[in-house]
Amino acid sequence: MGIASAVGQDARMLAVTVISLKGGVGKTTVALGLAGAATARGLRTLVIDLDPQGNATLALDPVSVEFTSNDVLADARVGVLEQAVTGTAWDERLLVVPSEPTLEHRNHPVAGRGGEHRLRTTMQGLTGLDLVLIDTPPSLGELTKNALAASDRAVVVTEPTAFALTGAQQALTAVDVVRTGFNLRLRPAGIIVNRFRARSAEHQYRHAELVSAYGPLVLEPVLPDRSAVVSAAGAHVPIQRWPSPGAREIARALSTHLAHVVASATGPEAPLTKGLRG
Amino acid sequence: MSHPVTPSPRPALRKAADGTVHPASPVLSSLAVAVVPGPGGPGEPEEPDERAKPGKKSAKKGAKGKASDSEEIVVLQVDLPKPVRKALRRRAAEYGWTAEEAASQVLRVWADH
Repeated sequence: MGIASAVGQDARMLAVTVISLKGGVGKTTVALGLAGAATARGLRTLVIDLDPQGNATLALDPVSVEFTSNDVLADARVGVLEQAVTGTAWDERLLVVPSEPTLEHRNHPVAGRGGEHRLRTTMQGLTGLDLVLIDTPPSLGELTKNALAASDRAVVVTEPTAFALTGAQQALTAVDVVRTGFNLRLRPAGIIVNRFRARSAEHQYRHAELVSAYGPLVLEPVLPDRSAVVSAAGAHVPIQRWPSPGAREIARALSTHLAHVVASATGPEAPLTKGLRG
Repeated sequence: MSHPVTPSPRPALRKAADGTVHPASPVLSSLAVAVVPGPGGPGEPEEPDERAKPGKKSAKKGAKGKASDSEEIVVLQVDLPKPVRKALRRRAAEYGWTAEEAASQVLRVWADH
C-alpha cells in the first residue's frame, strides 16, 4: 500500500510538527526534505513556517506573499490560514504559509493568556491536502505550542551530540506535556538523527545512547552528513532533485522516514516518548 | 614524552527506574519542561479526579492533588442524548482516553477563544 493510499484511507490530512529545542541541528532541512519526499510521492503538501527566521520560506521560494503565519496567528479565525497559503517554486503540489521576522513577537505573549489553539482553529476547513508540515523555532514558546496543539504527530530532529540529545529529550517531554494539556491526538512519530558521521566515535556513542534510551522511536536510517544538503538548500531546490550520490542517499532516507511518519498515524500506537519501559 | 589520553564521552541521558528518560545532568533535570500555562502561569497539566462523580456540584482534588486553585477540578453535569454519549465515548476511546478527559479538552479549546 502506498503512502498516498494510506493517507487517503485515513480520510484526514495528517499534520506533523518538526521540532527540536536545540538550534542548528537541521530541523528546517529535515522539514523541507520531508516536504520534498511527500511531493515526489504525489502528496499534496503544505508547509507552515512558524519559525521567525523564515528559512523554510526562503528555500521554498513562495510565488507571492500576501499574508504570513504572523497574520494568521494574529487573526486566528476559522479559515484564515487558507488565505495565507501560496504556491512554491518547488512543485505545484507543494504549498507554503510563509513566515516573517515579526512572528517572533508572538512567541512570548502576555502572561496568563492562553493562545495555544490559535493555529489549530485557523486550520479548520483546510481541504485538498494530504500532509501539513509545521516548521518551528528552537524554543518552547507560544509558536511551538501552537504547532504541537495543531498536529497529529511530532518528529524530533537531533544531531548525534551531547547537547542535541538533551534538546531531543526536552522536545519529547514537551510533546508529552502538550498532548496531556492541549491535544489528545498528538503522538511522537520518531527521532531523526541528522548529520551523522559514521567515522566519528562521538557520533557512534551518541547514536547508541539515543537508541538505548528511546529504542524504536529512533528512526533508521540516520541522515549522513553530506555537503549536497546545504548545496540544495542554497540553490532553493529540493534535495530530491540535487544531482549527486550524497543527495540521492539523503533522499532515500527521507522517503523512508516519511513512510514511517505516515504509517505511525495509521498504524498501532507509537512507542512511549519517555523511553521504553524496562 | 607521554601521549595525552583522549577522554571518554560522558552520557547525556539517563534512564530512571520507571523507564523514563532524563538529562544526565541533575542541573538540567531540574529545569523540567512546563508548557501548560494557566491563568496564574505555567504549571502541571490537570489530572482527572477518579473520585469525581456526576451529580455532585463540584469535587476538589484529594490528598493526591497538586493543582493550584486555578486548576481546580469541577464536575459539570450536562444533558446529552444517548447517541451523542455513545459517539463521545467511541471517539475518546480512539485516542485512549475517557469521555470525561475528552470533554475536558473540548472545553479547554472552547474557553481558549
